[in-house]
Amino acid sequence: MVSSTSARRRLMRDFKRLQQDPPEGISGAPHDDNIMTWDAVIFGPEETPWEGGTFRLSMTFSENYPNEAPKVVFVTKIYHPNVYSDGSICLDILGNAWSPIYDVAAILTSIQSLLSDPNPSSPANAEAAQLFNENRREYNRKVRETVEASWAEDDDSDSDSDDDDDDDDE
Amino acid sequence: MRTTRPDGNCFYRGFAFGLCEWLMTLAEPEDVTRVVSVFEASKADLLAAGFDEFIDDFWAMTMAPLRAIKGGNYSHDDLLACFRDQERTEYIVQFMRFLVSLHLAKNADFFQFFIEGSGLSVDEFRRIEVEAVGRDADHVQITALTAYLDLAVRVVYLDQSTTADGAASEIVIPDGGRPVCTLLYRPGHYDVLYE
Repeated sequence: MVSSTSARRRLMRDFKRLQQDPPEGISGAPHDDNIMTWDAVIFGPEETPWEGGTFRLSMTFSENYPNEAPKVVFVTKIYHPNVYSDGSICLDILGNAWSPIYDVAAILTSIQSLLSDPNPSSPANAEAAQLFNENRREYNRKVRETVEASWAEDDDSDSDSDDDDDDDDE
Repeated sequence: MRTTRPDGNCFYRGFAFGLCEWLMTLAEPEDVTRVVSVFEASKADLLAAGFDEFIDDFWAMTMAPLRAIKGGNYSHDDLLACFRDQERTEYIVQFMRFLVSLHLAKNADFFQFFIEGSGLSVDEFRRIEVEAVGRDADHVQITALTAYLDLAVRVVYLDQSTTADGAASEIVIPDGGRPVCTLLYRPGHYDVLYE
């Protein structure tokens, strides 16, 4: 029981901080009925090929948080050297460099900078890594496709996951 | 010998346990007062060095047994219960990591020389080799932790450094200090060793 309260207490703290001092281009919130599962959105960094993209992520925390990293996956399909086709992310702080000093804001900020500053030496998407290294123009074109697709996906998921009460407002 | 769970936290867990046992049994009252007050002050020290305020959860979890020990109302069973509780030990272990990281940050010029060989800067070393969960402690981390607390630890090595006559080699860190506990090191793992 102790562990559930401290993970939850810390997540409340993360949420409060994210609301009070939100990093630019990032938003996130726990599900109403479960603070252990969050939805987040990262906006593509300005003045990069990612500009204008809205990328949705899902974050799942265990009762061992913050002593264990959350599972973070892109829900929006994304073409990136460090993102697997299932949306999972190859980023050291989510793996063997995890430290409980990172909060939700720090995690999302790191992922945001990973977008425009990939690490092609540890590729999760080999083709994207190769294009990034060898044909930046084509790589940027693929990224722009991802950005444009993120708007469409945004509209889709808005319409099917819009479970707000305003459905009933006639 | 008291075995500790074989993960990358074993040095910190073994040392913290050995330190608590020492405080409860062999330490002079003035040692107890001094060590507990170093821990009391460490929160302000960490915040002043720019550590995130999240460290306070880790500090509080570490202070609970230390304050109880200082107050004289902590039994060996309480100590065992604390260290067998995964959550409490993880917070305490992580707090030890923050103290190592703090000491490295404050003495970066000195430690840079020892860290250079790893190809990392002191800040990278702190992030990747110290603050990261489950990362083993090596000589640099042990040196930093004992220096911050102004204590010593003995490490007995059962590895390649074992001498020709089969005796294990041992070192006290820092050299010449009065160890609060002895840890037995076998490659990749530390256990608490009793005389």
